[in-house]
Order: sequence, then C-alpha cells, then structure tokens
Amino acid sequence: MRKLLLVAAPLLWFAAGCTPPTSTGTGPSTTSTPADEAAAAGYLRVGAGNLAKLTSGNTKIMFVGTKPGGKHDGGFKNVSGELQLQAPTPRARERLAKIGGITMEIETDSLWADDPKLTTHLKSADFFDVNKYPKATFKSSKIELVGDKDNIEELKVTGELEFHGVKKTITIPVLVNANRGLWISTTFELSRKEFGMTYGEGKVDDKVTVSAELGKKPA
Amino acid sequence: MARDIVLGVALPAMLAFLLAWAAGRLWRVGLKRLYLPANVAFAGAFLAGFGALALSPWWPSERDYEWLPHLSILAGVAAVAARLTNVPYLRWSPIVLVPLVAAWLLVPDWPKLNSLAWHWRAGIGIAMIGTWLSLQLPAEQVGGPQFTLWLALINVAAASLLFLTGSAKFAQLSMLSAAAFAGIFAAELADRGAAFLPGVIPAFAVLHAGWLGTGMLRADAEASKLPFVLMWMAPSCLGLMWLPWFRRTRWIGAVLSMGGAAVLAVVAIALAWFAQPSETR
Repeated sequence: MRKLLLVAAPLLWFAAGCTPPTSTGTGPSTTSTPADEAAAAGYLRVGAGNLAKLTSGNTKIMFVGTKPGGKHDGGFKNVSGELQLQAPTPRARERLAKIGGITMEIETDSLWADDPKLTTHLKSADFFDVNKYPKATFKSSKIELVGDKDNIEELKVTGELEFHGVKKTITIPVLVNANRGLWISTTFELSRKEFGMTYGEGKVDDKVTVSAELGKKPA
Repeated sequence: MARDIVLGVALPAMLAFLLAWAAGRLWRVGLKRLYLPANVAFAGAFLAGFGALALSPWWPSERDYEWLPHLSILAGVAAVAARLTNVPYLRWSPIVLVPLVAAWLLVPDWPKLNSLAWHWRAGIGIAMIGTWLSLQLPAEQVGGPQFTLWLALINVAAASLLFLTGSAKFAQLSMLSAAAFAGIFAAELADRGAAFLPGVIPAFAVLHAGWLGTGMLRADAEASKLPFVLMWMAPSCLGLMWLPWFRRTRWIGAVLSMGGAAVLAVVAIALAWFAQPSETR
C-alpha cells in the first residue's frame, strides 16, 4: 500500500501540475488564436487579411468631462472592432502603419467614471441613456497622412460617429507609433450638445476630451 | 441650481396658485368640485415649468418617458370631459382609457426588452389605474387641503427617489407636479369653499405611476425594485381615509392613513439611499 502511495503521489502531483490553470469546465477548451492572445496582452496583432482585432484588452477609450471648478475621468470597458492595414505588418526598421480603415463599437453600458455615483448618473437618461442607446460606433471613411517622423505617423482620420442616437462625420488627429509594435493614439474634443446630450447646461461643460489608445505603448 | 428652483418649483407653484384661485372664481357656477379650474391651474403651471426648464421635447419622436407630461394633460382633459357629460359609465371611462394610451406610449421599443415590453406596459397601466381608483372617491368625499398637501409631499419624495436612483432630469420633472400641487394647496387654503383636488387626481395618478414605472424600467438590472413599489403604494394609503372605520375614528384614521403614506415613502427613500454605491475610486 505504501509502495502504491509512493508511486501514486508523484503521478497525482504531475497530473495536477499539468492541469491548465484556466480549465474549469468539462467541455472542450476554447481555441484562442495568436491574435486573441496578443489582444489580451494589450498588443495589436495583425492576422489574416491584414486585420487587427480590437478588443477591450488592446483598446482603451477614455474621456474627461469638466464642470466649473472640477473634472471627472471616465471610459468604457467593452470595446470591439477591426483595424485594417493596407499591407502586412512590416519588419523592424520598416515604416509601418498604412492604415486602411478602422471600425469600432463601444458598449455604452460598460461606462465607468471615477466615482460610482457618477457612473450611475452618466448612464441615466440625463447623459448617455445607455438603455436607449446601448452602442456607439465609429467607422472611418478617409485617412490622410499629415506628417511622418521617426516612425511616428500623424494621420487625419475622417469617419462617421454614431452616438446617443446622432450620426455625425468627424475628423480626428491620430498618431501611429510604429516603433517596436503598433501603438495608435488620439485625443480630441467632442461637443456633447452636438450629439443631443444637453442636460446640465451651465453645470457640466459642453466640450468633452476623448482619448483612445490602441495597442501597447512602446516602453 | 437657483435657476432650477425658480423655474422648476417657484414658477409652477405660484402659477398654479394664481390660476386655481382666478379660474375657481371664474368657473365656479355649474361645475361640481371645480374640475375645470383645477386642471387649468395644473396644466398651466406644469407646462410653464416644463417649457422653462426645457428638459424634454415638446413633441417626442418615439415612444418613451417624454410623453408623460402630455399624458398628464390628456388625463386632465379626459377627466373634465367625462365630468361634463355627466353620464355614469362615461365618467369612469378615462380611468381605463388614459392608462391604456399611457402604457402604450411610455414603454420604449428597446431590443433588450423584447417580449418583456408587454409586461411593463401591463404593469404601468395597472399601476396608474390603481393609484387613480384608490384616490378619486376619497378625494371627492373626504379630501381637503391636507390631502392635497400630502400628495405634493409624496411627489417630492418620489422626485427624491428618482434622483437617488440616477436621474436628476426625472427628479426635476417630477418636482413640477409637486410644485403645482403645492400651489393648488395654497389656493384651497385661500378659498376655503373650493375643492380642486378631485379634478387633478387623474393627472397625479398618471404622473406618479408613470415616473416611478419609468424610473424602475431604467434602473440598473441589479437594483432592487422595492423602493419604487413602496413609493407607488404611498399615496394609496391616503385613500384609506375613505373607508368607514377610518371615517368613524376621524383624526385617528387620518393620522394612520397619512402616517402610512409617510412611512412607505420614507422607507422607499431609505432603501434607495443605502443601495447607492458609496466607494470612490
């Protein structure tokens, strides 16, 4: 019996050690592609068709709202979309980017703010009205190269933003950093009134600073 | 803030008082219990505050809470029209017809509601009928200025609940009817022979159940619905005053019914208060 235990113990230990830590169910394990894994780690990984998947793991959408005498940070946790590159990912020292298009969808109910009470208020009919407008989308229609320095491209991206039930064409400045991976960032101002979000005039400023980061910023 | 108080509370309250007082003197002859003056005062005050605050469109483009102000006016018009015809079954027809229209217009076509939309419509419609039924006869037979004041206070409590559960806009719109009821209460005090309250019970029922139904529909999925239900029940406690035992016991019955309404409203607000997220990231 003791011999059996001596044999069984290492086997059990080995079996336990081999068990994938994420495997919890009895069904088949989910197959994740390298692109999925890269996205989860925060990287933009270009897959088949020169497409990079945008996920909550590699895409951050944030905003800063201001009011007389203060400001609040916020953002969205659930984002999805695709980034289309015109050519396959080049190797190091080669100019990257050549972005062909971008589509993005934001689940407005995933909104967060720096104060939980504010999160509830922002989700209400006073502001984002997330029950009525559960998604915000952006689809680019035109991308122009404005400048290019040290593998950092400056682009002007024009596209249709649908948000709070209003569709508008906007043009935003975008920086594409191609040093050691792909990192795309933008910061711009939106007028909430132009998108029908009019509550709180005088108490909350009209202009909201929106920023987005796609991929991992090079160290 | 000061602007909101002036336009959303002081203006409708003063206008309701002036309109009720003036219309009450002008149209008293031939109209039992001043249905028309009461509704002129309520609608005038409510619409003035609604227009001044500009929180919601005058003509909504789709089914949603934005129809509530219009529905309260419709309830008043239907109540006055039914009263003027003086035909028994017509007199009570608005109590079913207005909530039917209201329930249809108030529940939006959100994909996430799917088949539940009909449950919400039924719930909001029944809630309106319940409030209306429980208050109409008591308001006509045992109502007085204190009854009107209590309804104004319940409106304030409902506005507080709507504010705590997320929407300052709903709270402000709900405060409009509180202010209008406060003005009507003042007019009843100034003109002791006037009974405005029975005329505005339909508008109260539509707004009270409508705002609470809307607030409940839009509250977080995880949030408890109990505060909304308790607040909806609060004014119906005042209807107990009409029951024989409450009438016989006079002030004891009055204190019990008003106390019951106050307890329900306070418990509803307390539940919503403690359910609020408190941590700051």
